[in-house]
Amino acid sequence: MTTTHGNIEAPRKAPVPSAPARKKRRRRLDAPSMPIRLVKGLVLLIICAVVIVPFIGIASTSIADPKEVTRAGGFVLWPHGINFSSYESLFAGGVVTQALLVSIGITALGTLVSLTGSTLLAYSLSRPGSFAHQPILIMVLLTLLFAPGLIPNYLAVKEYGLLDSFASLILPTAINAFNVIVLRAFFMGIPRELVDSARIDGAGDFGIFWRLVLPLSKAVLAVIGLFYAVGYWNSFFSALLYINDTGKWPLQLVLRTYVINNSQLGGAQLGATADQLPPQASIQMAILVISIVPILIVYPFLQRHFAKGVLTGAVKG
Amino acid sequence: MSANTPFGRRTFLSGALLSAAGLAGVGSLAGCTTVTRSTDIKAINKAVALPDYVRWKGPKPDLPTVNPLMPDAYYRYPATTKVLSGHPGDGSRLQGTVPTNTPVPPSLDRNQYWKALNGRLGLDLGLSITPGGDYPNKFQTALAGDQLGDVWNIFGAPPYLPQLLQAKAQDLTEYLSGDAIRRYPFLANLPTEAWRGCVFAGGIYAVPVARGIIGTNVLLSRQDLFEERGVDMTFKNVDELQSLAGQMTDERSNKWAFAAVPNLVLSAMLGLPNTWQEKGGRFTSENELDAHKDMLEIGRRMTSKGLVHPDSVSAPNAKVWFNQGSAAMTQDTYTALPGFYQQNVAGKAFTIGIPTIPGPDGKQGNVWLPNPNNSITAVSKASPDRIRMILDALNWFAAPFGSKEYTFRKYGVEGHDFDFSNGEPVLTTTGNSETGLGAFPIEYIVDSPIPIYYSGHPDGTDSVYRNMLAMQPHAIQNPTYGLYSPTNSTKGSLLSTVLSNATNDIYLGRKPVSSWDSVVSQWRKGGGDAIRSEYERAFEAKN
Repeated sequence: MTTTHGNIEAPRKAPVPSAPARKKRRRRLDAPSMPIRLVKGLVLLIICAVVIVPFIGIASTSIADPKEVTRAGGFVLWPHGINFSSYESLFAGGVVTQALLVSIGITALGTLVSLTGSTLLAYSLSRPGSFAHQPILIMVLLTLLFAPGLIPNYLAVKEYGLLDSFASLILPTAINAFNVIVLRAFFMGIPRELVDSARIDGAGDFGIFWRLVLPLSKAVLAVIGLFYAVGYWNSFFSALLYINDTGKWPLQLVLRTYVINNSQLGGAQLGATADQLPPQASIQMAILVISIVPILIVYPFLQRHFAKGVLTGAVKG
Repeated sequence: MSANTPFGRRTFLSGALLSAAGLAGVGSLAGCTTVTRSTDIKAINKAVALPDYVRWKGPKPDLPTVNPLMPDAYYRYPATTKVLSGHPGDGSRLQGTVPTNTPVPPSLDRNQYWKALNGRLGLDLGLSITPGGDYPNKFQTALAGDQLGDVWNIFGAPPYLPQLLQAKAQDLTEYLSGDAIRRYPFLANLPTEAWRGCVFAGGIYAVPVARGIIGTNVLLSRQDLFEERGVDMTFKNVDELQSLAGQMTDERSNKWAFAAVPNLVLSAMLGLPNTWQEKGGRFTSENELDAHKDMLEIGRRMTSKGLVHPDSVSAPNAKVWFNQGSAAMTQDTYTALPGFYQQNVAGKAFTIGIPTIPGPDGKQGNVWLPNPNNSITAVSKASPDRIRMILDALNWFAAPFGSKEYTFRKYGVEGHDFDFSNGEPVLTTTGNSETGLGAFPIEYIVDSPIPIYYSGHPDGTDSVYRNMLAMQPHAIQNPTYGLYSPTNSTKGSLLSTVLSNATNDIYLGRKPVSSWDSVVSQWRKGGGDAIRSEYERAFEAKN
């Protein structure tokens, strides 16, 4: 129908492309030619190599023969033999093993505490009219703007009697305002009608949260959980300040003593003797492997949620 | 309301005030009125009678000790004797705060060595151990929270150190000054020079973690590589040094003469004063002298000629390059030798030579001596009886080389932490872990003088002994050692970075040597002149 009404113009017919133009467009939509595909493949290969080769080098150096490492200047891309002396040296005495257990415990418990606290806080802040909504939200936001200094933090932990306790590694950093904001934004995106219908069906506040909101929020919870878990896993500074008992040190702090002053590690001290120790480079690479492998193991299980969750949190606010 | 809460309003307010001041390192001094003002340079630098030096006559050295300042030299581990009887401790808890530069040892409950140590001390020794690089953060917070314990290591020069010590630490003068120290024979065995670094505001406020002359930076050469190429590693002047460096450089084979520009070696060769020059009470920084620009020009030429490892500034890794053979010479301390021997990949041929460093006239140069102390350790205020007990424990920690106490302290329990192999103590894998590679962090509370002894390497003993014998009489100390400058304590580190960056720019050809004048001018305005003035007043107060 092309009739006109009043001053409304009838829609114009779209111009029909000429034959060469049609051909050009079709060519553009076709699969790329072989040379183009080769170039693309090559570029991707180079990018992959840039990312992967250092990882291979790290793993290789950590298991290479100590003399080979020193001869190669500290970095072996492909070892001629396998030698686990770096790992044996790190795990000797049980310090690293114990620290590994501490780190796993802190990461698991800390993530649970953080996720529980953050989710409850974010959900309550996402419901308009909840108790002291505005003041609490402002207090949360203030922590983003004004971070407490080193000494006030230390004094707070000390006054609460948390020094030398595992709680000092979890409680001071349990709630991250950024993560709360991301969670709150996600919860606010859940249609109010869904919540209202659940309420009509007889669900209470906790029932709505537990049986409706949480199942809908698996993606964002996975992402925030990963953020917290990586944070706890990598954290060393809290332990450095608050933990005097080295038996309670997490892995990252113990490993730090191996790399913080690499000029001394390889050598027996000042006239003392020691068994032959692996070169510092081997130890450092073994440390990298030990510290990243657990996270690498967890990551693939959360990756599906990770991409989805980050996008969700990013566009709704 | 606040009465029942663990974190009351007053605590919060005092914490906030402390934190504001704490960043400047004076957190816990709030409200203290008995400390010397930082502007009163003369009072801060007031002198005191130093402890007597009574050298312990230990096992007969393998090489004659011709100079009282030289450590004893041994080819082999000597027969040891028990030098202390009973336990120094009273069974109480002794808490310390210390850094570590080796992997952290297992905690007390899983550390046989630590348990045995407590048994011998008669103490419940607790240590708050922190990796060396992180120690300032730990120290600052522990200080603000009053958690430093009974003995605490002070690394570097925290701002307002004299005031901090006056407020928190025990004045040890009455216990250690003059002949009072003879009650503690192994503290008396620490050189007088080391004690000068423990004096603040007219009192002895710390005990030294002494290192002495063995921490001097010298030129270490891979003698085996020189012999392989048929090059003589000795030199009489800068031209000869550059000439032999050229012969040892082969870029195509990834071999360079130097791991980095040997600044301290060149400084001695050009006759530069050790950091500062003192003439009639007037101080001049060596950075202000023309000879410093000559040194920069030599360093720039060495770099541009490709005699220096190309990554020496961007990714320094001198120890590995030296061991690997990428660098034939490196500037390092006598104490670095064990590490090089341990990481040796050249087999039996591996030999370290230490050529003497000539001065401008071709004779032995004035090598710069290091600060005699690695750090110092303060003791928290306590009753006289407890202070004496703590000093007894520190005396035990300082039991010297040649004593059974020393062997235990460094190597642990025989059969568990170490075994004797051909007469030399060798740590077991367990011992490596439990003793922190033979460097259990009590060595950062106080330590005995370090001998010239390299287990299993008598050639190392020979090299170091010969070099030290020639070097020591001509070596020069920094005239500001033992003087305190408040400005240096707050701005010195930043100013050093400015100078260091400018030096690297010149070596790498980013800036000409002539740019150094403006750098020095910037240094003077930024605090250099103030530091000079404070040192001059401090020098006047002490002399």
